[in-house]
Amino acid sequence: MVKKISKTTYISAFSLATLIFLAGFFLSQAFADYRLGLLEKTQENLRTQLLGIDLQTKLLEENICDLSWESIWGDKVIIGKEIAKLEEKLGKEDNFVLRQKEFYQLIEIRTLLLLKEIKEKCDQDLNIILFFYTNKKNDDKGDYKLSEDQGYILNNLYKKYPDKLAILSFDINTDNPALNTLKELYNINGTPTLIINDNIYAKFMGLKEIEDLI
Amino acid sequence: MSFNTIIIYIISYLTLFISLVYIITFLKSKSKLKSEITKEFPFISVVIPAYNKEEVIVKTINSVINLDYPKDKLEIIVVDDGSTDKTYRIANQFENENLKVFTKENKGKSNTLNFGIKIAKGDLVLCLDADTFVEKDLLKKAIKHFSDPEVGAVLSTLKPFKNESFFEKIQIIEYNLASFIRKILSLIDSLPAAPACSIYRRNFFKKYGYFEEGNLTEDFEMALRVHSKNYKIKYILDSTAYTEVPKKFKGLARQRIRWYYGTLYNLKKYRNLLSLNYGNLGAFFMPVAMLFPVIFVFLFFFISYNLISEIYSRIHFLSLINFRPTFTFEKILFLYFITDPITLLFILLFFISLFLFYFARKHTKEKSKITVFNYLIYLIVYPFLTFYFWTISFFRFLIQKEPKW
Repeated sequence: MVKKISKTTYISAFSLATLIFLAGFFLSQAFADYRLGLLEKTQENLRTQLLGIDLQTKLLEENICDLSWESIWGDKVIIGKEIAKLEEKLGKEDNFVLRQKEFYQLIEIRTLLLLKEIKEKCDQDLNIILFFYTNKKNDDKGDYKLSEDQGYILNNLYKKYPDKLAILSFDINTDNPALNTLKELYNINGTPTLIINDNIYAKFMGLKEIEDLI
Repeated sequence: MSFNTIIIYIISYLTLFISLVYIITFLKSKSKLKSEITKEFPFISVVIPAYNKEEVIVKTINSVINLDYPKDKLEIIVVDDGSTDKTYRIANQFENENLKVFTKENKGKSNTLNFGIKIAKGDLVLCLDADTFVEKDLLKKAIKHFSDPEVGAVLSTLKPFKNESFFEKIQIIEYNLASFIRKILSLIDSLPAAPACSIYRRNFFKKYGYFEEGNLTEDFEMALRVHSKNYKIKYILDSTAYTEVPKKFKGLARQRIRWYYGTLYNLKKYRNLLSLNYGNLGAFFMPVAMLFPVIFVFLFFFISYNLISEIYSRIHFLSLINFRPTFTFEKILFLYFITDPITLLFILLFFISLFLFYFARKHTKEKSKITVFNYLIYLIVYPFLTFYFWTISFFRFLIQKEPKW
């Protein structure tokens, strides 16, 4: 005796499960695309803002000390985190993410110049930390795990002292003329390397070690 | 996509598919959940095998005596399996024309059940564990199913009797869901269980043999045998038998390792049921039952490894900042977390489990209070314990090291 099989139930369950899965994938992908679009827009706004500040300071010879450094710096922390998440989601080799990351690092360089100027001219209690890292596994420039650890420490340090720290992170593997010049300027060959208030530390640094310097 | 992500997707997909089969079957057959009351009263023998149950045997016997069923159509056979306590003496006080008490040398549950079944006179035999108490309407609701000649066995809903210890509370949720899922499986004729309170046709035993002695899950073996002989097993959701469940971890571990070992043994024995000739049992239950022990063992190692790595990495990171983290709500991280397909899947599976749990409670008329904490423990911690028990059973099965009773 051959017994009955509930084919319709299995087909319905299979179709529904597949549909739910696909919907989840598309939803998540759509969200990543949406965030990417938003990121692009924010970066554009930043570029305009920076250009505006450039023109203001040059044309009107406005006192740069009137500018709030937190406003110049603040949004970039969020963009940095967004890029890190998108790298995780879309992959480190995703072209669009790579482009956004390169662009972000260029904005960081421009921000660095402004922050340095503010620091020099305005006698502000501001510590500028440049962090060169790698997120590539088996990178001969340095162990990516050490970079990860250093990043974690810096992230917590920023949470602890948000009003006296500006941390600018650079991927050592990003190939861009401006970034390459920055690397040459500070003689960056490996990771992690920290530049704390213009002093070079080509090594992993503990929390206490950094805190003593700022 | 990482290896971990692929594994999570595959297992989530299977879980989702299986849950949807349950839900669709339930929605299709909602009207069949209520039992019909019988108008015919065949002669029934209740066989109670007992070993060292002096504390509960009175309650069990009383629950059978109080069954709402014509007394002249009911015989009760208590078989003491050479208890070392007062079980036999206590049960013997109840002996009368309809209630017979026997004692014999200790030879295990199957042997004791077979002893009772062989002297039973009923057309139907209710096999009842000595620590299981039935509701009055059990027989009236169960018997109707036997009007279908293809039905070989009928089971009742099983619930833990006590609600005191932590593990008892968790098992209430487990038994509740299991009852509901068993009912659903019975609706597609693929119910493969016959635990503490099951009714069989006596002829079946005569024709196809008695409970297999030495089998760790003789009830599961019998259920598979019923299916292999092309009979159906039905389930009644609206009458309950209450049973004692392990109170502590040690007891639970021993019981589960024995059950799962027995399950693996019997699945191997009846592997021929993995065939479309056996309908939904062969097409759905058997593949799921054979695949999931392997998945559970895998999940045990997978979760353990990931949990240990995660704890190690958290401790490592925290040590970098002298264990003094600064907590801030990071909107970006939260947004990515909440829109991750894996998070979405887990949220969905959580709601599906809530849906099943709600209907399970409703249809089994479960009244005991379950706190959100207990439910979350059941969903998060208890599965891991189950995976652990499966892993132990699996490896014992591989090296043929049978657990003791």
